[in-house]
Amino acid sequence: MRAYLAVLKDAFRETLASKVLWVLLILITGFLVLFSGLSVAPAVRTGLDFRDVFDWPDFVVRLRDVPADSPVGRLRHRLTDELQKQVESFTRDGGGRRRFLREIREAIDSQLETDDFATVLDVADASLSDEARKLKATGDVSKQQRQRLNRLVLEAALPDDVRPSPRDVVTPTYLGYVLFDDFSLDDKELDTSVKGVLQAFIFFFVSVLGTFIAILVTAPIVPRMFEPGAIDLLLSKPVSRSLVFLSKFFGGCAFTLLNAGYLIIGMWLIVGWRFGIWSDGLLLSLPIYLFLFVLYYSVSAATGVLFRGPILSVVMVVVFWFACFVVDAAKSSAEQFELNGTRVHTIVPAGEALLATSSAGKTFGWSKAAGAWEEVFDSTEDLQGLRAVAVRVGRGFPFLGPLYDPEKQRLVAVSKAAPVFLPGGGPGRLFVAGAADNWSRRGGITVPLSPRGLFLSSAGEILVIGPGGLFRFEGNPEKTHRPFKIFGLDFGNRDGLGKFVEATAGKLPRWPVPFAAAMDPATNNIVVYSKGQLALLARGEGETEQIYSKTVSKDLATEKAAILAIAGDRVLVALAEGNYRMFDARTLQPVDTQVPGGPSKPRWAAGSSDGRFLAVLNHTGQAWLFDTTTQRLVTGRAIGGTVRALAFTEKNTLLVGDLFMRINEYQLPDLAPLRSFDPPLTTLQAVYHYALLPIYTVFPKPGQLNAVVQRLFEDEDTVSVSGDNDDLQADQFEIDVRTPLVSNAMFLVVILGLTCLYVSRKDF
Amino acid sequence: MTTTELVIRVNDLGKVYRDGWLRRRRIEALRDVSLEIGRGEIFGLLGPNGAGKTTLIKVLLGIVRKTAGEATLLGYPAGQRVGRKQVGYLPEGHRIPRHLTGNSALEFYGSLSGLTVSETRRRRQQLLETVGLSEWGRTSVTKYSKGMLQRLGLAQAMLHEPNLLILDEPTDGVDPVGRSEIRDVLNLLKSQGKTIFLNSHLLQEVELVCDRVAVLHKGEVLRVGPVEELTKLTDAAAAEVVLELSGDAESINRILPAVVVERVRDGDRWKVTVPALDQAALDALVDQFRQADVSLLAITRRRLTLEEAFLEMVRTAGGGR
Repeated sequence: MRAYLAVLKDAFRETLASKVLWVLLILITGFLVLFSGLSVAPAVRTGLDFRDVFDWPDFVVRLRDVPADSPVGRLRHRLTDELQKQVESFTRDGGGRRRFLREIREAIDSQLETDDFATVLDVADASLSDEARKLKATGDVSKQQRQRLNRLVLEAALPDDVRPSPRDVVTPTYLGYVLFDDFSLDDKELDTSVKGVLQAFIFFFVSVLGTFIAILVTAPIVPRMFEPGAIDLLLSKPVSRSLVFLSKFFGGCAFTLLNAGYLIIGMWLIVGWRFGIWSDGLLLSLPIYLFLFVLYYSVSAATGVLFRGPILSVVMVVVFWFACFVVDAAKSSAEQFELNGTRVHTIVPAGEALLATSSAGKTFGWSKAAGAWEEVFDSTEDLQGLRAVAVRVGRGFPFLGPLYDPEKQRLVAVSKAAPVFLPGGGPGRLFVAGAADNWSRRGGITVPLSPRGLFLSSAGEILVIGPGGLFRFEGNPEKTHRPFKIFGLDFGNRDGLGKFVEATAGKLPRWPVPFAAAMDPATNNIVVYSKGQLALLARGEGETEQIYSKTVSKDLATEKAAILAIAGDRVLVALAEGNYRMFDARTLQPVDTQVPGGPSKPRWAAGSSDGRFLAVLNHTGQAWLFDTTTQRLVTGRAIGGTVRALAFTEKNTLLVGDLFMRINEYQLPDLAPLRSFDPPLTTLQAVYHYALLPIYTVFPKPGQLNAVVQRLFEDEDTVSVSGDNDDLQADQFEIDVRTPLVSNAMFLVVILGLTCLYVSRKDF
Repeated sequence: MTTTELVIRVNDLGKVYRDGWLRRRRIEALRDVSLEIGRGEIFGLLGPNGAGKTTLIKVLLGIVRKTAGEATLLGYPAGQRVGRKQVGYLPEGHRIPRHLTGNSALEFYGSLSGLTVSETRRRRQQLLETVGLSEWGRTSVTKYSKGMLQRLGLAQAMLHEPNLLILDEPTDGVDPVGRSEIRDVLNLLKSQGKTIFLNSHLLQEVELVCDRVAVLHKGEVLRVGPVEELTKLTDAAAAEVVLELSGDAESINRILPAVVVERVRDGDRWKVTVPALDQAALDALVDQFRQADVSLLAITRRRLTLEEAFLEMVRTAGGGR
């Protein structure tokens, strides 16, 4: 052992003798000194930003409809005449809104700077927050405090539209100087921002630049050891060749250990000291980046042993990196631009027909004659090409539903709302498609909120629900408004158009996110989950049949996001942290808790038509099927692998979609196979399946180690593509930690093993 | 010599290197080499460049694998780590890592030989004095001359007090004074009972220190034996006789045979080389000189130098290199 420690120590000594090491250590010291000047100082949040309003069109609608003598009416009155006219003529589905909404924001933002804003709005003290009341009671306030009071008054006047702003916010400073005016972050935002910046920084400076410099510096260590005269002397000693090589190899990692360790631990201490954020992720990224270096260095060392030249070693590392990059890029491009879009997202059993939607939002009907899927429910309004990809990446699956209405034999779907400032953004719309005309898409009525749930009652009513309320659709959903504009004003005929009306008794306060809802198919009651609060919205009787009112509520003592499903008398609350809690559907009393294992976040949940089974599908493709009669899990090969979509049929069978658009039907509860809907693979799918995927599987994945670091920072195994982690239905990409670690470790073992074998058998 | 006293035993050893694409070209570096070296011997291995000397050493140390025959080192099959523990090796053209000093290099190689750092530190000053580097221990090896590096290499080979030293060109790049000092070191080691396996081009060096030598040529052993035996002319009858005489010139010229190889006169002293004589003829010649009152200062049969013997053997075996 002493001999190998000596080799290890010698490699360390060789590293310390390198001038590059000392230059880098000096540079890192300089950077850390400069970095330590960065900090945060307490601030107050004033003004109005785009992100401060839940839904801008809703906000303007409220501004339009309130009486003139209300606080918001007085706010409207303070706008310019021209803006007031535009507010009065505003409709949710009208055009030219982006510029107008920007003008509204700017106008209100400048109003918030005025001295008499709070006085003029005159919001009742009871509505004000404690902070606002205290500020109001303080007679002599600073300009900044007055602006803060204005903001709090605005929040109190428009509680359903303006996000409450946190009291404790900070602003970034450098050596005590504020860096940006009117910029503040609360604790959560600060944490997210700092970690995001750290991730980006260490990705570039440690993973990319640092690794490359380390490879350049350490490339000669192994070839030098194998030079004639040096290797003879070494091998004449009573040592094992393989262990000498490995000792030298790991000793060569000292360079990276010293530099990366100094930089990362230094940053960790400074971030902890200056920002109060002790990021475990930052600290744990050190071994991950060391592993990344070791991986590249193994290629360098193996080349050094074979060809005894440092330049060739560096060239081979670059070739290796490029090969890994090409394989990874080929796979991700094929997935991103084509295959992800063709993967099954939702299965919709529609009477005798079977429909399925792809992740790209396209809907397909199974053609028995062709034995393949045929696109239905199409629309020329859909975005195409790269723009479609951008929207998909930003927003994910674009629909709620589709649901099948057996009564009217039609599909019902709602397109998701997106901020108007994003590409393809706009309000949600209601679409229908009848079986009679081959599921052609019709309608397009605007939905009055950002919907999170779409339900069909047993009477065929269409209901949408979101944090902003519960609405019922009245009228014919197939009819569409055709705009007829003169000078920007819409004179199109609106007669006979369907509309959404509130389905609750009076306006309920806005439900905070995370939000989820499910409808009980037996009673048509709706259960709502909002930031840890479970509430039952019971449907009225007699004349109030179409009116829902909150009857029971239950505090679940959590703030995690959840997905709901109802089967029989059970409400399932599948929480993002991975435990599935069950409650009585009428009393909301807890009945059972299941922990299926692993913290994977649920994406979809449903109950079977007969109320016996509950199913959950999570974002990593694992399915969970629970039999409420036997109180046991249903397991089997059919749902044991990666599952892309699940659905119960009217006949209480289970449909399971796997990779691409292959769907199998199983009998319950024994999961005996019944039918298979297996379309032929397209050329690209075949290439992906039989060539790209096997190559990717056996290839090392050094680039994926950055995802492992991201996982350390995020503390989640999946991350929402849209950045909204409170919406579990939104597409999430999986941060796969195991595959890159295992695959790269295997590659390392193989390449070091082969090199050791070569070294032990070679005549020197 | 009993088997237990053997330090190196090589029997019908063969080594074939393969080269070129698909490794189809054969290079036979050693062929049926057999040698036995006993404890306490200084054994020299001679041979022209490419004769297989370094290959033989590398096979003994396990740096290169044999393809035929047997070889043992201190009773263990060649290449085994336990055998290498008791060997100190100085390779030809060795390279000591440039980031080391004399002291740290000895610490490094001492640890590789199984010594603790404290043991190395205890021994190294004495050792550096022995090889003439006592003032240079703290100096980076980048500042060392070739001769100094050679001395440091010798020091590392002696550091763990091995029973066998294998020295490949130990005096390479060393000045004459240094060479003499290294010879003294080798004699000192011999006096301590160490076995030394010496590989050198400098035949005078070998002649001066080696007990036995082997001549290797094109991978084969031509001769093995004591230096005197190799330098002795093989045909006794062919050995010329050198007579150193003092006396009357007329008497000397009268008595000398008709054929004289060389005749040198310095006053009344003569040095005369006559062709080979058998013992009876030589006795008769001596009697005649004594009767003529000529003094016989010395009578010697002429020997070859090792270099002459080596060149003769190589020429006889067919060509130089």
